[in-house]
Amino acid sequence: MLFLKDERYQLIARRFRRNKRAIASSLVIIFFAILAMLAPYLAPYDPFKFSMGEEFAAPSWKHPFGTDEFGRDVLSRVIDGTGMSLAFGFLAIALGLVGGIPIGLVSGYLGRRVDEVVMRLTDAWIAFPELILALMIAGILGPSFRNAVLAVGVVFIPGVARVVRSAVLALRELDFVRAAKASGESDLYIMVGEILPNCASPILVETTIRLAYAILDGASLSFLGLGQPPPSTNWGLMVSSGRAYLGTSPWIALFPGLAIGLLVLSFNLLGDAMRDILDPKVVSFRIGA
Amino acid sequence: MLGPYATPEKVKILEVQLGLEKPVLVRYVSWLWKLVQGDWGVSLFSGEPVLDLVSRRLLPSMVIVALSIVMTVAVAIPLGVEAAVNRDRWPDLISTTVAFLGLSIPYFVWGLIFILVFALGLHLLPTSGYVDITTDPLGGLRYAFLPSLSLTVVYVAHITRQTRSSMIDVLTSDYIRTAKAKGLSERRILYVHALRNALLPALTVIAIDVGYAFGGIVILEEVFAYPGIGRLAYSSIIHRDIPVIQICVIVIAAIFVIANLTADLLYAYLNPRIRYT
Repeated sequence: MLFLKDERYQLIARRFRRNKRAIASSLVIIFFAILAMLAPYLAPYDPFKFSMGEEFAAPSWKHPFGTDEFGRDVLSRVIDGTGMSLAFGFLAIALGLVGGIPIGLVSGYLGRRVDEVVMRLTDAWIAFPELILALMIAGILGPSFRNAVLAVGVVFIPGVARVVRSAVLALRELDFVRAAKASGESDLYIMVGEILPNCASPILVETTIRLAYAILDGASLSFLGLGQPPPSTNWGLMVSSGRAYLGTSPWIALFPGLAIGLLVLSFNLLGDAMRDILDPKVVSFRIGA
Repeated sequence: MLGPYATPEKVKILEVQLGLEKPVLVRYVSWLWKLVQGDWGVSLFSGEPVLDLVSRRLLPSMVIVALSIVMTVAVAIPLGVEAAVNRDRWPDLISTTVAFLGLSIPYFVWGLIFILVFALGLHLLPTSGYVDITTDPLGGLRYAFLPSLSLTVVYVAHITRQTRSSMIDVLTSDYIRTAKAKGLSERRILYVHALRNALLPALTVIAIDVGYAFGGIVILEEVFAYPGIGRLAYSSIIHRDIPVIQICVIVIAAIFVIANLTADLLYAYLNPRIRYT
């Protein structure tokens, strides 16, 4: 079980360093993370302070992203909302993992009847377009951060379960599992101790890409009014309230919108790069990698 | 439904009226039975039969989705082919980056960008509303265009990437090398031999995207105030109009499932090596 000092990890780290997209997207994500953590110090103005007389100011040196209908500095609001968007993504994914990994593990490992039943159930779950399901859940529970996270997280569970299940199915017949069984290890230990660590790479790739969609879905739910209520600096909410002024002051809606796009883009790129890095088959194309 | 001033007696009467005191299973079965018979209930909000409501709204949404699929395929396939052929050179890098941008920026932000550019900036297209396409095709298309475009940019991203990667796989295969050795023109090789095989997975993605389109449509119809099934689903959820929610969700999920099924069947049909026993 000592896998952390492996040469495999060194190989992965090296491939990561060489992959330009991976580096670039990680840097952007780290930038956003720093922004989120240091938001109170980095925001030039108070994100919630109305400033009468400065409403609808176009972007300028004083207000790089302009001001909104209450004179609030848009840049400060966007910076303030960063943490929320990141937190939403991570929490929703955490929920998806907590729910999906056990289901996938158990279903793949126990096989046959259990697997069939679980797969039919997840098929029904997946049968809904993500957004509709999340919309229903959030709509019924009421608009709040927690409910939106719940909705998006629940929607991800079947997808995670399936990825884990297919990895488990591939690993189940391998020798090290047979050896563990032969030496009398309990099923639980085998699932968690032997199989799970080896599922790490597909789970990691899936997680990174899902993070992108979690943030996207979170923004969409907030746009529709199912996230936090005003005066929150939630990006989706900012786009929605800025929409009314699109013709005259487009910056109010556009900057938060582009912020969402940039964050999601970096996670998408990272996930895509991770898939290349962790895929054993891709190695041979680069000579000397 | 009764409002915040309802007395317990009134609540009880309403419960009996709606049949809520019966066990869940009984209610579910009777609902299913009515569904199959064509009785889809009545909207709590407007009193209108849900069947009429939904069937009126389905066509406009389908117009948007159909239009976006047409535009997507027209743009994405050539782009994907070019990207594959010029792999890792500038055309490839540019289209890959643009593709990623397409699927990273949320539908509603694209919608707003297009409103800004086409409607408010260039005054070419309307920002919202709808015209029945059966009576006025050109007008109907005008109103459907911007929402479709917003869907298109996202799906072009998917299809381009898929086309590109399957073209790359195909182009490095033996039979293409044989064709080159035979001396066939590059154009003929590309479009007649390679593309046919590369398109298979792309077709699957297209079908799946049709399914996802009905999710994105909820947001876009809201942004463009377009009276389709997406907006109906959204407003019924907000107003807790349960009969309508039920039918909308079923219809949308059914379309999604049919789209996925079509993708699987099409793939099996077109690829003789895949057969479901």
